[in-house]
Amino acid sequence: METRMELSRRTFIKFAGAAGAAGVVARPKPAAASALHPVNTPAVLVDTTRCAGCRGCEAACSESNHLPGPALQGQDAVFSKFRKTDVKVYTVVNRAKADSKQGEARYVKSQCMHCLDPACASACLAKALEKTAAGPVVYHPERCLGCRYCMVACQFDVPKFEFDSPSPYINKCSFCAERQEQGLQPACVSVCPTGALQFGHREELIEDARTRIYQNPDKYVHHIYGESEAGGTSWLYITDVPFEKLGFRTDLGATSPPELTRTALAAVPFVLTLWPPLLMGLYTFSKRRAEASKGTDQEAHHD
Amino acid sequence: MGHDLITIYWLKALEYILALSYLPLFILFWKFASPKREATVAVHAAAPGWSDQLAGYFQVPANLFFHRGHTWVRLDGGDTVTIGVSDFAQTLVGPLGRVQLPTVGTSLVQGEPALVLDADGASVPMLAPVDGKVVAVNEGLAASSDLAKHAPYGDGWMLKVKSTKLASNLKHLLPGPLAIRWMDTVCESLGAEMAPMELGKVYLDGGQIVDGLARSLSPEAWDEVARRFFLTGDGGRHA
Amino acid sequence: MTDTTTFDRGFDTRSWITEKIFMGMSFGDYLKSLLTPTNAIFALILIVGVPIVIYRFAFGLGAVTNLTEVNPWGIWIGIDVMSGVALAAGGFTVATAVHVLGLKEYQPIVRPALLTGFLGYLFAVIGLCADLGRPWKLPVPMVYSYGTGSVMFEVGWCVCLYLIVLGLEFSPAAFEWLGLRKAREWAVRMTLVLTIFGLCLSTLHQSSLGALFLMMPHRVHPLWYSGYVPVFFFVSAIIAGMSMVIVESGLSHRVFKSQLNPNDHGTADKLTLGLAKGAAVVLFAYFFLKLQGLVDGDRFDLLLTPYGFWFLFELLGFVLAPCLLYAIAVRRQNATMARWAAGWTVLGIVVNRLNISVIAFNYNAAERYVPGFMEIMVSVTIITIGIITFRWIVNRMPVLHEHPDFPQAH
Repeated sequence: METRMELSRRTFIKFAGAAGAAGVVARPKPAAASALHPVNTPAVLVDTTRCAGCRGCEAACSESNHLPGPALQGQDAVFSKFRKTDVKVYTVVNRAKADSKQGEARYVKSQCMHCLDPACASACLAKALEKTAAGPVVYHPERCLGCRYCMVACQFDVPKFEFDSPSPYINKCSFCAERQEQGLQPACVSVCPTGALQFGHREELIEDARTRIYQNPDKYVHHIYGESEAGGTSWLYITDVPFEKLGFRTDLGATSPPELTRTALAAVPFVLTLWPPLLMGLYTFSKRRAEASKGTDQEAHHD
Repeated sequence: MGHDLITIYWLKALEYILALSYLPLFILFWKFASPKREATVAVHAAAPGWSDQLAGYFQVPANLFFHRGHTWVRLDGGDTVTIGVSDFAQTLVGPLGRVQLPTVGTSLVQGEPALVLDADGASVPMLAPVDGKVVAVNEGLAASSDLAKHAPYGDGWMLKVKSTKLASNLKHLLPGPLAIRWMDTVCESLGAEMAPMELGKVYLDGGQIVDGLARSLSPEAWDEVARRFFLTGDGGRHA
Repeated sequence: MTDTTTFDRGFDTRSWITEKIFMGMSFGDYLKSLLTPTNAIFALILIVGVPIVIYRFAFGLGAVTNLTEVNPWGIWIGIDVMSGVALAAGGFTVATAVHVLGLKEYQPIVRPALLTGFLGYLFAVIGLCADLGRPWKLPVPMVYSYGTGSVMFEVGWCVCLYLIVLGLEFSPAAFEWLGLRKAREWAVRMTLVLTIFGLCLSTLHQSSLGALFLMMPHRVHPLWYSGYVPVFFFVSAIIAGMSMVIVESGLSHRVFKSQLNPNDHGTADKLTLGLAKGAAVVLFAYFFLKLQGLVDGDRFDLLLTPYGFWFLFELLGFVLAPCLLYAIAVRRQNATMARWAAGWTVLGIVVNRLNISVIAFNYNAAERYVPGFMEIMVSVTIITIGIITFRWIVNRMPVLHEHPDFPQAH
């Protein structure tokens, strides 16, 4: 008797251990928001209090990417309208809709935010927009179908489309991915005279930004834009005027857009696995019922 | 949104209440969205003479079903049904000389010819509306061939059949109210087929259908006309 | 008739064309038979529309549409793709009912439903090609660059595969028309597998068309945005499919009267009422699903805004109202009422798809999108070509009637 009980206890422990181990192994690791750990990913901190509106970044960007030069170069009239990026204009500097508390004009540079978990790359069915392991979200024009899903998915309205071309592409800032591969800074950052643009590791830049805010609590708005918006972006902004005045949407959640589709996509293998047996079951059930009624008829005919 | 720990309680409560109240409402709705089991059905006024002929049966009983070959079935309870030939079919054929009925014990198959109407020297087969075995034949028809004409749905019945596949057979039959409309459509299309001046061949002055309509349409081949309507024209392979 | 000589004794092209393509008429007679008022309207639409389509491909989307960088999606997505796919759902609904659930009494409407489905999807894809900036790149995500994280990738693949499935499901009718007995037998044997696979694919892509909008809480109005939008789309697709089959059956019985036995009308009425009951029940459930979505969204405050009134109008006027009309029609066994309810429901589905993709989409944008005349003409043209194709096939192939050589087993 005792031996049997001991054996079964041992067996139980063996099985429990195995089950526990299997449980540990089988439990999925929480998925990282991107392939890249957000600490070391390249990022840029934009301090709009330091931006002089010289638009040197626009010029450097267009030169580095072989695009037509910025519009109305050197003319203040360019700030009379709020400009947006375009297929051949990867970045623009706009004047904020409000001045600083001291009455100084404020300027803000807009470009692709290179989100940690980008909506556009997730949306693209052909992987024309791709989040690289190095950080930047790059565009492969030869794969693009022109479906414009990236445009509607992006919460920052970044990708722009060539509506007047019979073979239209989209395009946007590439974070100078090729320059970064060679160890260089993005073109815009490299020419910024005032240090408004700062290139570095995302976590360090966030620390830096927090320090600046902490040291000047009355000056800065107590928020780093891009820290959590849309799940976190590589381009971070601090400013001393409200973010809406810079043209930023302040109603964006902290969940990255691809996270919102995770459940729906996860359902796909479930449907493909469960529907066939379910339907075969219904089919068998209905066939059996039909045969049952036919069977009684056959019985009746046999006499 | 309301997914914080404070507002979630009443939100979730609302969801549960909604779901639980949906369940009985669903049952009630299912019952509501089912054909009425009432005895009376309003036949629309434009019926060209049908209402008169079915006058006694203006109230079509809920247990009367029609086959597209113009035979009818009445459920007598249990497995037994009564089978007859519709008013329309008899009007088409005209005065019946003889009715050839299958003997007791014959097996019928839905959609296969089951009985034959003889009139004016020609034979017009009619399709069985259900599967089953014949258990009784209306002897009264032999005595009086007018019986079928005067009471096509009552004493003019033809066969009593014990049906084994009633439930599935009924799926291929039209219930009373729908059949009325269907017969109207058939009649209308028949009238429309005739050139307008020949409508006199279809309708009598009082709006009633000409008795022996098939014959007045095609004196030489009236049984072919009838066959077309009774679906027996091409061998009768219809359910 | 025609005096023909061929070098191959077996096949006579000239008379085959005469019989199959021109329905037994000589070419001259056939052309004369095409001179009808309906065809005149179709011709007018094509004369105006086809040049616009060519213009769109020659000069790009901006030349023909009112789409802008603020509003990159318009009615070509909202109507041609979204509504088109939803209304084509009758194929899988009826096929499942007949081949999986064993409801054999619906056999007569399987082929028309499959044809409506097949052409619905085909022309939805064609509408998509008009909307895509570079449609010749379609093979890219199909063949070598798989954006597997994208819901649209899944939609694309599912729609492509399902189009093939529908084509195969309909092929027996085509083979019967061509007299290819062996091919027809082979196609018929695959019916159950195709039906099941078709239902899997339909579930996936109907719901995924809704899931496309999951990434856009910043654009879709909160009353229409919900985590449940894929479920809403799938359930409403079933409703749309059944209603479209009723509408198509009602129209076909009028237009193609010559193919039908007068007795067929009774059957059509009965089947219409059967489908109507199904549609009523599913609409009832869908109404409660939408209420649950409303609770889950917890934005009751928005119900008293203009968008809120529009949402309530859609919910009450295009979901609850047709549901009740369907129920009453079944109760009174009135097939005509059921057909009206079906038409109303079809309209409601289009309104719903338009709401989520155009009307309540980018609701807070500075500039709102309104479709232009040329855009609408392109949609109308594509739909017209679809209708013409439907008519061409039904006039020749055994869709509404049985082929005398291939009697359907009951």
